[in-house]
Amino acid sequence: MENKISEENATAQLQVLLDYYDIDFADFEDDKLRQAMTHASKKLVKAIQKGRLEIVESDGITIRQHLKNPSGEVSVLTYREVDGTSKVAMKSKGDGDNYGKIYAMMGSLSGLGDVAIQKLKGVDLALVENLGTLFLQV
Amino acid sequence: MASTGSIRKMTIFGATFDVAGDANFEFIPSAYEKENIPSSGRNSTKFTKRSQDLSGVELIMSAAEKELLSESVDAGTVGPISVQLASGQTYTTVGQINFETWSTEENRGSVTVLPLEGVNPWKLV
Repeated sequence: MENKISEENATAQLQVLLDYYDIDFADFEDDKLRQAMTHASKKLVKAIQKGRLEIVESDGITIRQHLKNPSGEVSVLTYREVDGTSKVAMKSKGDGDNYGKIYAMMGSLSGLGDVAIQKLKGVDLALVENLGTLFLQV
Repeated sequence: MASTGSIRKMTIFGATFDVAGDANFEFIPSAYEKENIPSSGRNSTKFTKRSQDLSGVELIMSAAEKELLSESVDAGTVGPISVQLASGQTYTTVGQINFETWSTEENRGSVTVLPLEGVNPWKLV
């Protein structure tokens, strides 16, 4: 797929999200975590370039994910700003269950619930996981 | 054959609720109610627009969850609402909640979903 947005502009858009949540990779002392965040960021920049991810800064911050392979009538997922409700949604997940936490949080932020998120496939699910990796640090 | 039966979960404004096992959610499947107007000749059919509300929703919620939901409802929150059917399929809409009752004997909350969209408000995920 041809890129709709330059890498420079896509990186700037992602930076808006990182700044909004005050996420600075230099603050992470854990090398593995920093690597995971860097990897996730690169994937998110590519998704923004391809038009599969939009960061909308208006009355807080909202993220729109355009699904590549929607299985039903919903082709765009909208994630609201991270809040207490989305964090409480992860309460039943174990410490090491990162995927479970991500699906629960993104299920809450999208309003669809974790099962609908888990049912996404391929690049759509991977994009959720990359976003969730960032959001777990908020 | 498709699975039917109890609703698995319901998510309201991002918070997931357990659903009473005997709850029977009732969707209004079309946007118009039709009524035949008889005449001495051919009948004409009157189309009356209706809201595709979801009723019969019985949630199990603690007092704390009830308080949080009440607060959102009274604030006039318009947000995403999703229902996961027994088959695992999820229907979603954007709208408001009418929080009718909460009974302490079984921690049961009765709500109706009032979708924002007038036509085809429920989407299959």
